[in-house]
Amino acid sequence: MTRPSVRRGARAAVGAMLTPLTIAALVVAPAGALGNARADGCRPFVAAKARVDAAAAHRETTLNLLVSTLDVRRDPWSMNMGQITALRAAASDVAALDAHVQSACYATVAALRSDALPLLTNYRVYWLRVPQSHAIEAADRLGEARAALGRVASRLAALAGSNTATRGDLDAMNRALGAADAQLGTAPTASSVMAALPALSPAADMSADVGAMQGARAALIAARGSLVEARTSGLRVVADLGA
Amino acid sequence: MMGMSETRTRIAVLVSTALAIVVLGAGCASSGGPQAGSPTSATRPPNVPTTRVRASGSTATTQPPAASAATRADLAALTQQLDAAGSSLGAANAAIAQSDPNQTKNEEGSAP
Repeated sequence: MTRPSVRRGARAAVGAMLTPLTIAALVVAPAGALGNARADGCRPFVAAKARVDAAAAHRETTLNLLVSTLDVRRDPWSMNMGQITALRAAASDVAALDAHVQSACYATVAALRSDALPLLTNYRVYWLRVPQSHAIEAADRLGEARAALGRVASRLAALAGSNTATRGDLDAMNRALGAADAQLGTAPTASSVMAALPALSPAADMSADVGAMQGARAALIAARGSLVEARTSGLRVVADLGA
Repeated sequence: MMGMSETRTRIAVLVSTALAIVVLGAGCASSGGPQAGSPTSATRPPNVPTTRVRASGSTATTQPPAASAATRADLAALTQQLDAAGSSLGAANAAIAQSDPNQTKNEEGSAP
């Protein structure tokens, strides 16, 4: 949803002063502290609405940043586009929710609370979307490194000849690449633990999502370790051949 | 006018100098030094052993530099690719660091 830039600037200033935690304070604040009732029964809740607006803006900024991060990647596992679509949808929904809260008439704090709470519970921007998107980004970058190291290993195999030490280093490189494949999969087919990542969605009970993300994270860490080993062995082969 | 003995001396010096040049030239050739028309280290094919004859008459096989100029260019390109892979691995590490849901959830805030 497009908004006037003036409002954006004001929101940024408010957002810099407020943390997302304040949204919790917003909905539990005493009604009397949130504004006086108008003749039509609507109470302005000016401070509370500003806090909701700041929290929404913070989430929109985060979601858009994640989109821009994934948008420029090569997407070797075909995960990025689906994630980008989910992130854009979340940003749009957050903006719509905020617009609704800003324009709605609330006679009670309970009514405002009821409308604002989905900002926390329905989108899980920081509990799900941020770690999920960074895990997908990590898989993307490891896929890129894996492809480059595979090309190097193939070329080195042609140059290695029959020198025992060189062949040993090259074998170590290929073993490490195989270990990385066991964690990540072989592009474009991701391993099951990695393929589960983009399918995760916000939930009231986040334990299953968190478990899946922790599993993927462990695989990413292991795969990266193997690729670092592969690179080190590759550098040894190059040194062997250039000596 | 030169005397006979002086002439003999000069001839002897010339002959010994010529002999010394011949001996030095032969020594240079047998030690693998460059000769006209022979391949230089830059153009010698890689991994081709060279054989030289020792003063004792036995032969010794030595390994030339492992990488030719073409191979060295290849290895330089491969090193660049390994460096690029290293950059990707560094970026992956940064992304992994931000992928822990137990850390990022703190920014979510708490529901009342």
